[in-house]
Amino acid sequence: MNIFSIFIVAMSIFSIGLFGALSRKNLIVILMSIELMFNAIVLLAVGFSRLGFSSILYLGRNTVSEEVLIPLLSGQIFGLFIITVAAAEVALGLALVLTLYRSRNTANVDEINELRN
Amino acid sequence: MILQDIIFWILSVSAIIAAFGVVFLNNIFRSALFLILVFLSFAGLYILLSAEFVAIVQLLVYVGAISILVIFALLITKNEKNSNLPIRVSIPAFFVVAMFFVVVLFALNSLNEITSSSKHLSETIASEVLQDTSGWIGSLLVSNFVIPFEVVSILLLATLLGSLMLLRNDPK
Repeated sequence: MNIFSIFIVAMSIFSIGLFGALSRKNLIVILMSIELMFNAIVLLAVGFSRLGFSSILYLGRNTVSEEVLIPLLSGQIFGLFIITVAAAEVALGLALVLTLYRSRNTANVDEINELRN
Repeated sequence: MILQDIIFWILSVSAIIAAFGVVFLNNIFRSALFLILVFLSFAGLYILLSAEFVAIVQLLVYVGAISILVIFALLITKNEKNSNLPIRVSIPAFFVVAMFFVVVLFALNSLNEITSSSKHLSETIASEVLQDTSGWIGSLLVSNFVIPFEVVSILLLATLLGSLMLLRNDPK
Protein backbone atom coordinates (compact mmCIF):
# COMPACT_ATOMS: atom_id res chain seq x y z
CA MET A 1 0.00 0.00 0.00
CA ASN A 2 1.75 3.10 -1.25
CA ILE A 3 0.77 6.32 0.51
CA PHE A 4 0.35 7.85 -2.94
CA SER A 5 -2.64 5.60 -3.68
CA ILE A 6 -4.33 6.91 -0.52
CA PHE A 7 -3.99 10.42 -1.94
CA ILE A 8 -5.46 9.32 -5.28
CA VAL A 9 -8.45 7.75 -3.50
CA ALA A 10 -8.94 10.93 -1.43
CA MET A 11 -8.84 13.20 -4.45
CA SER A 12 -11.20 10.94 -6.44
CA ILE A 13 -13.73 11.12 -3.60
CA PHE A 14 -13.23 14.89 -3.43
CA SER A 15 -13.87 15.23 -7.18
CA ILE A 16 -16.99 13.06 -7.01
CA GLY A 17 -18.27 15.17 -4.13
CA LEU A 18 -17.49 18.38 -6.02
CA PHE A 19 -19.43 17.12 -9.03
CA GLY A 20 -22.38 16.21 -6.80
CA ALA A 21 -22.35 19.62 -5.13
CA LEU A 22 -22.36 21.30 -8.54
CA SER A 23 -24.89 19.18 -10.37
CA ARG A 24 -27.61 18.07 -7.93
CA LYS A 25 -30.80 19.94 -7.24
CA ASN A 26 -31.78 18.85 -3.76
CA LEU A 27 -30.15 20.83 -0.96
CA ILE A 28 -29.73 17.78 1.29
CA VAL A 29 -27.87 15.90 -1.44
CA ILE A 30 -25.64 18.95 -1.87
CA LEU A 31 -24.90 18.82 1.87
CA MET A 32 -24.11 15.11 1.55
CA SER A 33 -21.67 15.85 -1.29
CA ILE A 34 -19.99 18.50 0.86
CA GLU A 35 -19.64 15.85 3.57
CA LEU A 36 -17.88 13.63 1.01
CA MET A 37 -15.44 16.45 0.29
CA PHE A 38 -14.77 17.01 4.01
CA ASN A 39 -14.09 13.30 4.44
CA ALA A 40 -11.66 13.29 1.53
CA ILE A 41 -9.74 16.17 3.09
CA VAL A 42 -9.57 14.40 6.45
CA LEU A 43 -8.21 11.31 4.69
CA LEU A 44 -5.61 13.52 2.99
CA ALA A 45 -4.55 15.03 6.35
CA VAL A 46 -4.23 11.61 7.98
CA GLY A 47 -2.24 10.39 4.97
CA PHE A 48 0.15 13.32 5.30
CA SER A 49 0.57 12.50 8.97
CA ARG A 50 1.48 8.97 7.94
CA LEU A 51 3.94 10.48 5.47
CA GLY A 52 5.67 12.17 8.39
CA PHE A 53 6.88 8.77 9.57
CA SER A 54 9.21 8.64 6.57
CA SER A 55 10.60 12.12 7.05
CA ILE A 56 14.33 12.67 6.72
CA LEU A 57 14.50 15.36 9.41
CA TYR A 58 14.35 13.20 12.52
CA LEU A 59 16.95 10.56 11.78
CA GLY A 60 19.24 11.53 14.62
CA ARG A 61 16.69 11.65 17.42
CA ASN A 62 16.30 8.81 19.87
CA THR A 63 13.61 9.95 22.30
CA VAL A 64 10.02 10.94 21.72
CA SER A 65 9.82 14.68 22.21
CA GLU A 66 7.68 17.56 21.10
CA GLU A 67 9.65 18.25 17.96
CA VAL A 68 9.14 14.66 16.82
CA LEU A 69 5.49 14.45 17.85
CA ILE A 70 4.23 17.60 16.17
CA PRO A 71 5.23 16.66 12.61
CA LEU A 72 4.09 13.08 13.15
CA LEU A 73 0.68 13.71 14.67
CA SER A 74 -0.46 17.20 13.66
CA GLY A 75 -2.07 15.76 10.52
CA GLN A 76 -4.33 13.56 12.65
CA ILE A 77 -5.11 16.48 14.97
CA PHE A 78 -6.03 18.65 11.97
CA GLY A 79 -8.26 15.80 10.84
CA LEU A 80 -10.02 15.78 14.21
CA PHE A 81 -10.61 19.54 14.03
CA ILE A 82 -11.94 19.23 10.46
CA ILE A 83 -14.36 16.50 11.63
CA THR A 84 -15.63 18.79 14.42
CA VAL A 85 -16.10 21.76 12.09
CA ALA A 86 -17.85 19.50 9.54
CA ALA A 87 -20.24 18.24 12.21
CA ALA A 88 -21.09 21.83 13.19
CA GLU A 89 -21.48 22.73 9.53
CA VAL A 90 -23.88 19.92 8.74
CA ALA A 91 -25.99 20.66 11.83
CA LEU A 92 -26.35 24.32 10.88
CA GLY A 93 -26.84 23.47 7.19
CA LEU A 94 -29.67 21.06 7.92
CA ALA A 95 -31.26 23.63 10.24
CA LEU A 96 -31.11 26.16 7.39
CA VAL A 97 -32.58 23.65 4.92
CA LEU A 98 -35.46 22.89 7.30
CA THR A 99 -36.12 26.60 7.86
CA LEU A 100 -36.15 27.15 4.11
CA TYR A 101 -38.44 24.17 3.66
CA ARG A 102 -40.84 25.59 6.23
CA SER A 103 -41.12 28.96 4.51
CA ARG A 104 -40.83 27.96 0.81
CA ASN A 105 -42.09 24.35 0.99
CA THR A 106 -39.26 23.16 -1.26
CA ALA A 107 -35.70 21.93 -0.86
CA ASN A 108 -34.60 22.43 -4.46
CA VAL A 109 -31.99 25.01 -5.32
CA ASP A 110 -33.53 26.00 -8.64
CA GLU A 111 -36.83 27.02 -7.07
CA ILE A 112 -35.20 29.44 -4.64
CA ASN A 113 -34.80 32.42 -6.94
CA GLU A 114 -36.45 35.34 -5.20
CA LEU A 115 -33.34 37.47 -5.54
CA ARG A 116 -32.96 36.86 -9.26
CA ASN A 117 -35.37 39.50 -10.58
CA MET B 1 1.91 -6.57 3.72
CA ILE B 2 -0.11 -8.38 1.08
CA LEU B 3 -3.10 -8.58 3.46
CA GLN B 4 -2.84 -4.81 3.98
CA ASP B 5 -2.91 -4.30 0.21
CA ILE B 6 -6.02 -6.47 -0.20
CA ILE B 7 -7.84 -4.64 2.61
CA PHE B 8 -6.81 -1.29 1.15
CA TRP B 9 -8.15 -2.16 -2.30
CA ILE B 10 -11.45 -3.49 -0.93
CA LEU B 11 -11.97 -0.39 1.21
CA SER B 12 -11.03 2.15 -1.44
CA VAL B 13 -13.06 0.52 -4.23
CA SER B 14 -16.11 0.30 -1.99
CA ALA B 15 -15.63 3.95 -0.97
CA ILE B 16 -15.41 5.14 -4.57
CA ILE B 17 -18.38 3.05 -5.77
CA ALA B 18 -20.47 4.22 -2.81
CA ALA B 19 -19.48 7.85 -3.51
CA PHE B 20 -20.72 7.42 -7.09
CA GLY B 21 -23.91 6.01 -5.60
CA VAL B 22 -24.33 9.08 -3.38
CA VAL B 23 -23.93 11.46 -6.29
CA PHE B 24 -25.73 9.67 -9.12
CA LEU B 25 -28.65 7.79 -7.56
CA ASN B 26 -32.05 9.39 -8.01
CA ASN B 27 -33.53 7.97 -4.83
CA ILE B 28 -32.22 10.28 -2.11
CA PHE B 29 -32.75 7.84 0.75
CA ARG B 30 -30.53 5.31 -1.04
CA SER B 31 -27.84 7.92 -1.49
CA ALA B 32 -27.95 8.56 2.26
CA LEU B 33 -27.42 4.83 2.85
CA PHE B 34 -24.46 4.85 0.43
CA LEU B 35 -23.08 7.83 2.34
CA ILE B 36 -22.96 5.63 5.47
CA LEU B 37 -20.99 3.05 3.45
CA VAL B 38 -18.49 5.75 2.42
CA PHE B 39 -18.05 6.76 6.07
CA LEU B 40 -17.49 3.14 7.14
CA SER B 41 -14.89 2.54 4.43
CA PHE B 42 -13.10 5.72 5.44
CA ALA B 43 -13.00 4.55 9.05
CA GLY B 44 -11.34 1.36 7.83
CA LEU B 45 -8.81 3.39 5.84
CA TYR B 46 -7.93 5.41 8.95
CA ILE B 47 -7.27 2.21 10.89
CA LEU B 48 -5.07 1.06 8.00
CA LEU B 49 -3.11 4.31 8.27
CA SER B 50 -2.65 3.57 12.02
CA ALA B 51 -4.86 6.49 13.07
CA GLU B 52 -7.15 4.64 15.47
CA PHE B 53 -8.39 7.70 17.30
CA VAL B 54 -9.52 9.41 14.09
CA ALA B 55 -11.24 6.19 13.05
CA ILE B 56 -13.19 5.99 16.31
CA VAL B 57 -14.17 9.66 16.09
CA GLN B 58 -15.25 9.05 12.49
CA LEU B 59 -17.48 6.17 13.62
CA LEU B 60 -18.99 8.18 16.47
CA VAL B 61 -19.50 11.50 14.69
CA TYR B 62 -20.17 10.57 11.08
CA VAL B 63 -21.74 7.12 11.19
CA GLY B 64 -23.46 7.68 14.50
CA ALA B 65 -24.59 11.29 14.37
CA ILE B 66 -24.38 12.95 10.96
CA SER B 67 -25.99 10.11 8.97
CA ILE B 68 -28.89 9.97 11.42
CA LEU B 69 -29.28 13.75 11.15
CA VAL B 70 -29.28 13.61 7.34
CA ILE B 71 -31.82 10.79 7.30
CA PHE B 72 -34.10 12.69 9.70
CA ALA B 73 -33.91 15.75 7.45
CA LEU B 74 -34.73 13.56 4.44
CA LEU B 75 -37.77 12.14 6.17
CA ILE B 76 -39.05 15.58 7.16
CA THR B 77 -38.79 17.18 3.72
CA LYS B 78 -40.57 15.83 0.67
CA ASN B 79 -38.38 14.74 -2.20
CA GLU B 80 -39.05 14.46 -5.89
CA LYS B 81 -37.69 11.53 -7.84
CA ASN B 82 -35.56 13.36 -10.39
CA SER B 83 -33.27 15.75 -8.58
CA ASN B 84 -30.57 16.46 -11.15
CA LEU B 85 -30.05 19.93 -12.49
CA PRO B 86 -30.56 20.27 -16.27
CA ILE B 87 -27.84 19.01 -18.58
CA ARG B 88 -26.66 22.51 -19.45
CA VAL B 89 -25.48 22.84 -15.84
CA SER B 90 -24.04 19.39 -15.29
CA ILE B 91 -21.82 19.21 -18.39
CA PRO B 92 -19.78 22.33 -17.48
CA ALA B 93 -19.69 21.01 -13.92
CA PHE B 94 -18.21 17.76 -15.23
CA PHE B 95 -15.51 19.62 -17.16
CA VAL B 96 -14.61 21.76 -14.14
CA VAL B 97 -14.29 18.65 -11.97
CA ALA B 98 -12.24 16.79 -14.58
CA MET B 99 -9.82 19.70 -14.93
CA PHE B 100 -9.51 19.96 -11.16
CA PHE B 101 -8.78 16.24 -10.86
CA VAL B 102 -6.08 16.30 -13.56
CA VAL B 103 -4.34 19.31 -11.97
CA VAL B 104 -4.40 17.66 -8.53
CA LEU B 105 -2.98 14.45 -10.00
CA PHE B 106 -0.03 16.37 -11.45
CA ALA B 107 0.57 18.06 -8.08
CA LEU B 108 0.44 14.73 -6.24
CA ASN B 109 2.78 13.18 -8.79
CA SER B 110 5.48 15.73 -7.99
CA LEU B 111 4.88 15.04 -4.29
CA ASN B 112 5.40 11.35 -4.96
CA GLU B 113 8.79 12.04 -6.54
CA ILE B 114 9.87 14.09 -3.53
CA THR B 115 8.83 11.59 -0.88
CA SER B 116 10.15 8.48 -2.58
CA SER B 117 13.69 9.83 -2.26
CA SER B 118 13.62 10.54 1.47
CA LYS B 119 14.94 8.27 4.17
CA HIS B 120 13.02 6.62 6.98
CA LEU B 121 12.54 7.68 10.56
CA SER B 122 14.47 5.63 13.06
CA GLU B 123 12.47 2.54 13.87
CA THR B 124 12.40 2.88 17.65
CA ILE B 125 10.76 6.32 17.69
CA ALA B 126 8.24 5.35 15.01
CA SER B 127 7.14 2.22 16.86
CA GLU B 128 7.06 4.04 20.18
CA VAL B 129 4.72 6.70 18.78
CA LEU B 130 2.63 4.18 16.83
CA GLN B 131 2.01 2.06 19.93
CA ASP B 132 0.06 4.81 21.67
CA THR B 133 -1.18 7.27 19.05
CA SER B 134 -4.28 8.23 21.01
CA GLY B 135 -2.29 9.01 24.14
CA TRP B 136 0.14 11.25 22.28
CA ILE B 137 -2.75 13.00 20.49
CA GLY B 138 -4.37 13.65 23.86
CA SER B 139 -1.22 15.15 25.32
CA LEU B 140 -0.72 17.33 22.23
CA LEU B 141 -4.35 18.52 22.38
CA VAL B 142 -3.91 19.91 25.88
CA SER B 143 -0.43 21.34 25.36
CA ASN B 144 0.39 22.64 21.89
CA PHE B 145 -3.07 22.69 20.36
CA VAL B 146 -4.96 23.95 23.40
CA ILE B 147 -6.10 27.22 21.81
CA PRO B 148 -7.77 25.62 18.74
CA PHE B 149 -9.24 23.04 21.12
CA GLU B 150 -10.95 25.79 23.15
CA VAL B 151 -12.01 27.71 20.03
CA VAL B 152 -13.70 24.57 18.72
CA SER B 153 -15.73 24.31 21.92
CA ILE B 154 -16.94 27.90 21.41
CA LEU B 155 -17.79 27.01 17.79
CA LEU B 156 -19.87 24.03 18.94
CA LEU B 157 -21.73 26.20 21.46
CA ALA B 158 -22.44 28.79 18.77
CA THR B 159 -23.70 26.07 16.43
CA LEU B 160 -25.99 24.70 19.12
CA LEU B 161 -27.47 28.13 19.83
CA GLY B 162 -27.72 28.98 16.12
CA SER B 163 -29.59 25.86 15.11
CA LEU B 164 -31.91 26.20 18.12
CA MET B 165 -32.64 29.81 17.14
CA LEU B 166 -33.29 28.85 13.51
CA LEU B 167 -35.65 26.02 14.30
CA ARG B 168 -37.65 27.35 17.24
CA ASN B 169 -41.37 27.53 16.68
CA ASP B 170 -42.47 31.14 17.20
CA PRO B 171 -41.45 33.38 14.32
CA LYS B 172 -40.79 36.50 16.38
